[in-house]
Amino acid sequence: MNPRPSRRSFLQAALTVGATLAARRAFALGDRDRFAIAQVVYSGGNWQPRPTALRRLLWEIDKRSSIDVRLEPVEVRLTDPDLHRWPMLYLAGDSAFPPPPEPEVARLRRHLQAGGFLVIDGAEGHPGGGFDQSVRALAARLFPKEPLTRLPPENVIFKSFYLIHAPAGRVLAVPYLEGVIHDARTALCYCQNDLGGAWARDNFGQWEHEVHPGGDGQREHAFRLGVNLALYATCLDYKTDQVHVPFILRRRRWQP
Amino acid sequence: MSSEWHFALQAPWGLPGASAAIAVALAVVVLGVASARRERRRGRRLLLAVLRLGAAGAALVLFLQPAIQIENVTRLPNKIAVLVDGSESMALAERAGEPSRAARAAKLLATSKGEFARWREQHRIDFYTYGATLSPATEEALVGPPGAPPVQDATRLREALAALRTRYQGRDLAGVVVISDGIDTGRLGETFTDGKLDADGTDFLQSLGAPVHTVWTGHGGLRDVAIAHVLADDFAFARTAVTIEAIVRTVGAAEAGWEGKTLPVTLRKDGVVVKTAAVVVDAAHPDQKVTFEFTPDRVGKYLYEVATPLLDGEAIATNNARTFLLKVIRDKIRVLQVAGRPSWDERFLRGLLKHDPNVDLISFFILRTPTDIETVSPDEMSLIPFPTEELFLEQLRSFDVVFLQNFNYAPYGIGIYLDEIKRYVEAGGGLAMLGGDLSFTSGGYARSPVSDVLPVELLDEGPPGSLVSQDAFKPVLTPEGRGHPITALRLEAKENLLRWEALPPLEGTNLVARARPGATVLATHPFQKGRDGRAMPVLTVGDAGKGRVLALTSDSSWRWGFGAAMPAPGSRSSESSGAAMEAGAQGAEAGDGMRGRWYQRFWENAIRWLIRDPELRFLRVETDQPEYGRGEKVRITVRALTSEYRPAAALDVAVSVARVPGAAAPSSGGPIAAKTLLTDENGESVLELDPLPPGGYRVTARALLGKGAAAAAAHHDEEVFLVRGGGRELEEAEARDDLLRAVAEATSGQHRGPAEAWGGLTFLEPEVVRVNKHRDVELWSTWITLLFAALFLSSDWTLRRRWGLA
Repeated sequence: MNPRPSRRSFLQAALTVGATLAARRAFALGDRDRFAIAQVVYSGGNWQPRPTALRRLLWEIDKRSSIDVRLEPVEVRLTDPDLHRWPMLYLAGDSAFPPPPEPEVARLRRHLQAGGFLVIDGAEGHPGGGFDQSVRALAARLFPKEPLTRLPPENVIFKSFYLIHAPAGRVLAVPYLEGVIHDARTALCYCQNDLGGAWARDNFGQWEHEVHPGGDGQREHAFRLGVNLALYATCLDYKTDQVHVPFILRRRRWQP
Repeated sequence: MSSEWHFALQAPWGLPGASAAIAVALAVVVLGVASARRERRRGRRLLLAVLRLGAAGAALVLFLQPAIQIENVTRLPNKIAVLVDGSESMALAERAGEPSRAARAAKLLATSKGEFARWREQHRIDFYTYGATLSPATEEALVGPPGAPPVQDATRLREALAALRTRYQGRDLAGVVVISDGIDTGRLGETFTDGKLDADGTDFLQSLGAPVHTVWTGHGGLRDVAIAHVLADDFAFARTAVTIEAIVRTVGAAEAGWEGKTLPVTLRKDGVVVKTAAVVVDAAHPDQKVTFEFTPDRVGKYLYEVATPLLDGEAIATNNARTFLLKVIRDKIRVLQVAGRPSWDERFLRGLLKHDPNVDLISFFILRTPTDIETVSPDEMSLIPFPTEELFLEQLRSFDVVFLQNFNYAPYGIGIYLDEIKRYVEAGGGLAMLGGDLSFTSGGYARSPVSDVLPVELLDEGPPGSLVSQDAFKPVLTPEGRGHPITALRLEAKENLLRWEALPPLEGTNLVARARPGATVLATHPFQKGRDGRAMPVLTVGDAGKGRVLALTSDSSWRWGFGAAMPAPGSRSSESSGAAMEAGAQGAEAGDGMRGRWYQRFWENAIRWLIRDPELRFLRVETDQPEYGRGEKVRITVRALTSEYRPAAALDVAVSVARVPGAAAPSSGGPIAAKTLLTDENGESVLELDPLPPGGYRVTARALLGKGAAAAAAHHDEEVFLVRGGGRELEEAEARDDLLRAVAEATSGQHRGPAEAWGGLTFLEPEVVRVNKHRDVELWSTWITLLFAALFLSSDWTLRRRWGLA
């Protein structure tokens, strides 16, 4: 006869064993195989408006989720032979940048078509700026047949870990995310709310930028969106599996 | 032979000559009459007209030369076809001790010699038997002492009459006599409703152009219980509920005293009772439906049987059970992917499996562990409890393959289910353990029940650093791996090897002790050694009970997909334009496709192997048909492959055939055929069996391997097949005369009951006449004709001259 312990006993056992294992942190097979976010380095413009942002986000992802994170962000050029080592790319800026040459656009396109994920973070704090225009031009070249569109609230990015209603960053320039859906997957996600500005924290533990208008609560939501983006990159549409739907629907109703 | 006469004209030049002669004769008469008008005396005019008419008539007779043709003729007798029902139902008797319907038919024919003699005065009689087909017979065979009972497993009167019509095409058919119990399983029977033939059936019968007389050899009073019909599809989906309906038919229940009796109805699978139901006999409702619902758990071909026990006084024992084949197929491959944490390896495997239309994927990923910081209420998160009990206890066996991907079980209370995972594999499930820092020994599996079924032996617990290697490496295919279906990325061996060498390297590996005895190592580490001093296995497969297990000690096989899909910078594809890149997305120039063709093929191969795809079995035994009719030979083919999946020539394979037990025969009674076959250079061998009695059979093949042969359990295969019995023939065994009566009425034939004398049947007269001799009696060449002609002509000429009319 098979044992049929109760869920309560499972929880107790899980917590007990989990506590004993807490000291045994992962010893990854290869450091290069850990989850990392690679920031795209490009010529012209400011490719790194928030230099400390990604490190802080990775730290938060590591502490909040079970992802085995490489804490040091990676810098990568689109011409880099190792571009394929980094499925999740982060492209930021606060001003216009010159259009990348076609071979670089082609490599990036292939990366995204093959399963890569690009997060574009506009630090300008308002829509329609130079960076915004450069991004839209790049997106049109990357996916001529798949336009940049607003992601609907039911997109998995809004529920891949936290339940998120609206994207928050250092500012609330626009109440939506935009993206490119390729092969039933969000291959490119564009946020104009300066996520990096909300994540950036100096080595003394001070937040580098004020968050308007919501303060620390808004900053927390910016981190939640960052965690969700990482979980989406690694789990895809896992949270749309039918088994998750009842739980998510129930909790959505509990929200004020 | 008889004489017949008819009138004929022998005039020259045929009809035109006769017509011309008549015209001339008329003209002569008219001229003669006209010229006689000058004669004033009426009596003379009349006499001249008569003489001219007589002269012309006499001349006409001489020209036309009338004659009587007398012929001696023989009338060819036309055919009467006597069709005697030779189907299995004719072997039945309504009551014990009574002669069978076939015996009654034979007796009827034997006592009808006088009647036949009368028919033969004008007709010829051809005898046939019919059932599933029409076959010529002889009167002696039909009326003689009974030999083998009628065995045809269908009664198809319309089809038999159609064959008869073809046979008598252009010949003279006087009529047909059908002697039968009235059961028809062909088109006539199917379309005969409410005691009426349909229009098509009636048109067909009337197209015969001859009467069909019918004679019924049955009578009422049958007492029988039958599984009259089983409604089941030919195939079902594994782990999907199947409904089978059976009609239990009772005939003569009131007379037999079965009213109110409860009849158990059992459903057996390969001789083992699966379900039992019951029906209460009710004479007012002879047909009662029984429904069985069950869920086949495994893919394969199975013999099912629906049966009721034999009651006292039943006329037919063989229709109390009905056997059928059910092929259980896989709707989709159900895959459970459990990952200990989100990772690129998990992400790309999920992406691949979700895109595969043949896979039904259930994923569970640990997104947060007990040690992760919890800063918000769970209500603001999309996390759900890990449904351990549902997955690992209740639903585990519904999956075809389970992927444990870098998954450590301990924090989630799953240790108590590891035994269940082991049992799942041993019962036939597929398990794949993929590497990572939470897998193999690092995941706590050493000395666990799961380690018993893994194809690799695990290291004992130790410091984390001693359990993994972080060095990148390219796995090396072993000789077994070069021919194994899992590692077959290309068909051609050399190309396959080159393809493997071209794959991106893996990032680190879990360390394992060695391959388990009997396991097959497909790829090894290039420099890590196992505890046995050999190259450490990286990709290993093996059998565990009825199941299969794969162990890949790396968590970076995703690089074979994503990495391989990315061309090197500066390559032609990377420099190409956007449009060209779209074409490249189809995998044309990079050769790897967007999802990584080789990564996709590797895992598709692995899943097919794990689920024991029949195409990948080492030894396969097959019959040339799933079902055989009575009297058909059974052809069994075995195909053997080596562990490298090449034809296994000169291999001894023991093949045995045994009955599958059923209601009638609870035990198989041992093999009915057993032989050791030697495979040819194609790894094949054939065994042909003489026709077998009706029933279900299992053929078992087992490769006779030497002591050193591995994976002996894999060199065994089974197949089931069915030899059909009476088919639908005994479903409705009660004799009926309404169809025979309707057939007779539709063709202006007559119907006779069993007790009626069958004399007085009428048939069409023969039409075909053959002339043996004929002679002509000439009516014109007599002296009287010449005398009349001379008299009329001379008188006419003489009188006209005398009276001044010439």
